[in-house]
Amino acid sequence: MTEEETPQEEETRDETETASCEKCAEYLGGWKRALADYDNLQKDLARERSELRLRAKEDVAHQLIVVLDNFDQAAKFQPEGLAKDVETWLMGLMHVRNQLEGVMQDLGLVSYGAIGETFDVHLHDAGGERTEEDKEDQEILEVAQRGWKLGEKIVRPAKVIINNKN
Amino acid sequence: MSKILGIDLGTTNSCMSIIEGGQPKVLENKEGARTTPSMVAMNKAGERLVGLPAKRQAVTNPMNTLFSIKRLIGRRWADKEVKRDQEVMPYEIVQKGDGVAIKMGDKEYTPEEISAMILQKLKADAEEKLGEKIDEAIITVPAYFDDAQRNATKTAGEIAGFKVRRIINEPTAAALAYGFDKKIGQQIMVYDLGGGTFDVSVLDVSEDTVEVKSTNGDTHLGGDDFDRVIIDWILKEFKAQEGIDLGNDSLALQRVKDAAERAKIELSTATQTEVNQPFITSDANGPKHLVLTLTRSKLEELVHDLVQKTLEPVKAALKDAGLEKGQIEEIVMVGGMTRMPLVQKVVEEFFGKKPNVTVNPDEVVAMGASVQAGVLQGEVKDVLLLDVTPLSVGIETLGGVMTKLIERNTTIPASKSQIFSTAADNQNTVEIHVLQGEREIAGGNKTLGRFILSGIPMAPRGVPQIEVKFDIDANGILHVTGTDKGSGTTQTITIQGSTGLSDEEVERMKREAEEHAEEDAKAKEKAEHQNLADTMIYTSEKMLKDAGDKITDEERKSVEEKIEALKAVKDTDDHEAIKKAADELSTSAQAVGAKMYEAQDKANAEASAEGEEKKEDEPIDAEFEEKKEEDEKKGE
Repeated sequence: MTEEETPQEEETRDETETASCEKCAEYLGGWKRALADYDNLQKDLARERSELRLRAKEDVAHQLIVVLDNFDQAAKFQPEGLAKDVETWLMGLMHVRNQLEGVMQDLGLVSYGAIGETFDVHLHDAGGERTEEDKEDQEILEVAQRGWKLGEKIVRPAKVIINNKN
Repeated sequence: MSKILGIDLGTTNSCMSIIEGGQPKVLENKEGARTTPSMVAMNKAGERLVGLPAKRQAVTNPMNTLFSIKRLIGRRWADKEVKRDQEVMPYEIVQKGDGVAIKMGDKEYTPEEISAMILQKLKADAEEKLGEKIDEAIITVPAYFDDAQRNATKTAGEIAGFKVRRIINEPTAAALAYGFDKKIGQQIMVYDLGGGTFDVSVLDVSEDTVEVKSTNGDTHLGGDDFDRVIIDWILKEFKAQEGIDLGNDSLALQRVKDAAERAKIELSTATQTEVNQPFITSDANGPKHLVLTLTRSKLEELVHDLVQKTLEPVKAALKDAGLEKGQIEEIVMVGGMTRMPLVQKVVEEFFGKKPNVTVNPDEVVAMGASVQAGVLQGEVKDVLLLDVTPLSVGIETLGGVMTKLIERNTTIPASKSQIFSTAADNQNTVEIHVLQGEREIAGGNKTLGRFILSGIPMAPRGVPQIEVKFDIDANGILHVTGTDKGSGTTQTITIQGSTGLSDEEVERMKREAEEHAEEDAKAKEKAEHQNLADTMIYTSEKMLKDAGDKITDEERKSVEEKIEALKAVKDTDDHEAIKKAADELSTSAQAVGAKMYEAQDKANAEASAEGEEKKEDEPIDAEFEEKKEEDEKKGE
């Protein structure tokens, strides 16, 4: 026999080489995929971190909104004819309320919802209805709770009473 | 290939999920919420509203706001459920052929069409979120749905523009989300307490199917009933205190409802909460405030009957399946109400085993639907399984403490290195004792191996830098290398099978760590105090030596006395005494140190040409063990 390989041996060797090439390609593919996954994970994490920051702000806002609501509610019940000293004391309390509102603004929150606006389900939550003939149908007659927005996102819709003429 | 959306089309709320990277992921809707109210409305302008916007106008438009449509889908006009809904629903239900239709605006819609509107919104929101078209869906239905109800749900999906790949049972989906489809031969109970309905199912897992063996439930029992009990209690308490019925004031009632729901949620984690709604109303005497404390035990007393009521359907389902409660291997909790500790407790007491609550119960069904979608898509096929280290590995450091280098549950391959130092002057060898386990104390953990790193050049304690590197390769083999950075001497040990522990062994070691947590913490604290005392003594003695004649005999004596005092107590268990003696030594040593600096500054000022202070004169940092930590490098 010569040292040259028989065609059969050559074929087997080719097959083995093809198989190992395929394995190499598979592993390289898997490796690249793992690196790409990691790279994408980093990007996802960066995005999620900024979303998380926004959500954390929203969570804080939710808690503060309730406190401001109660200040607003208190203001509605302010009695008439207060003694001068009580009135200045009350004024001080209302300054505290304004401070709190300032904190909300610093967080990027904007309040909305006013009497006379038209009811919009994307901004308002209808808490009730009544009929006033001299007003437009679906007009906001009363704002029970102000609405709050953070950028474009509605953190809390305004709770309103609307005019229903039909 | 486009994604398949997994949809939990619920009675009160719906949820959607996809498979991403082999894992289910819940998609938020356009409003940024993870669940969408299953509500559809037509407003006066003839606009169709779906989800949250529909809910927001429900109070003012009850006739044209449709909800709980799932109760009507696939029903026949003659069904008694239809008759009941006709009486209680604010919208109009009419006959259409054999089936039913609902009036909204001036048109009639079939329940399929209404459900399709909800599905359409989910589809649009998912497409917007993912930035690609979604044509296929898997929708879940209650296990008790008959063929007509399943077909009607499928039709709804098709109207919405989906190719419905499968309609699967909600309990099956929940089991899939937990991966219980692999628990061949096991019986699983799914306990689903949602907003308005209670369903219980017994599943039998076999080689290639999950069969529903029995179902039971109560179509009118859910979170709303729990809320109502709390609202009634608040109204009653307020009436008793103030004599005013808030039930007649719609705005006040809404505040009470919100407060009741919030209190219920808070009491799932806290043991007491305050219902605080100041200025809720007023009478001739001025404004009234609603301020009540609700404890978890009071809440549990209030809802006790409701929770107990769920056990009857559980028993009936077991009976129908021909099983004893002891034969149930896993219990899966679904629905927001199962977050309530009392619900979990009652279920645990009944079955004598802990129910599964780790997957968000509001999302578990949608997630399971997407797991099924993943199987259909073959996304889970090519996942390379990565192993984790079952227990932490680390080395023993001064005082018999285990310093962990690679924490348990780290995905491998992983490596980490850390710099350590010597504990004594002129120490020329260090022993690296490799440990595995969760105990703080080295002696409580398993020794994997140990080796000596020698040839460290003579130096004061804390000066040599010895890098210890742990590397666990993909096969779980741990290589530990110790290198003296000064001389470059390196020693390595290879430990086979650091991950090859039996489950029992891992569990035992974790349990032991929990059991000994307190005593270990104390022992560690003692070691830390002693280490601190040793360092204090060492640095003070060195300072005195370096001070030479710069300090008076009196000052020297004062520090020496304090050193002796600390030495006397440092090996005792009296932490307070050690701390006190160390503090006193620190104070007097600092005073002397300050004086030395003063003298030095003066000398420097007089002869500034003398140059920098010699390095040896600097006090040695008390941190002699871990000098710095290098970045954890994974997958090297």
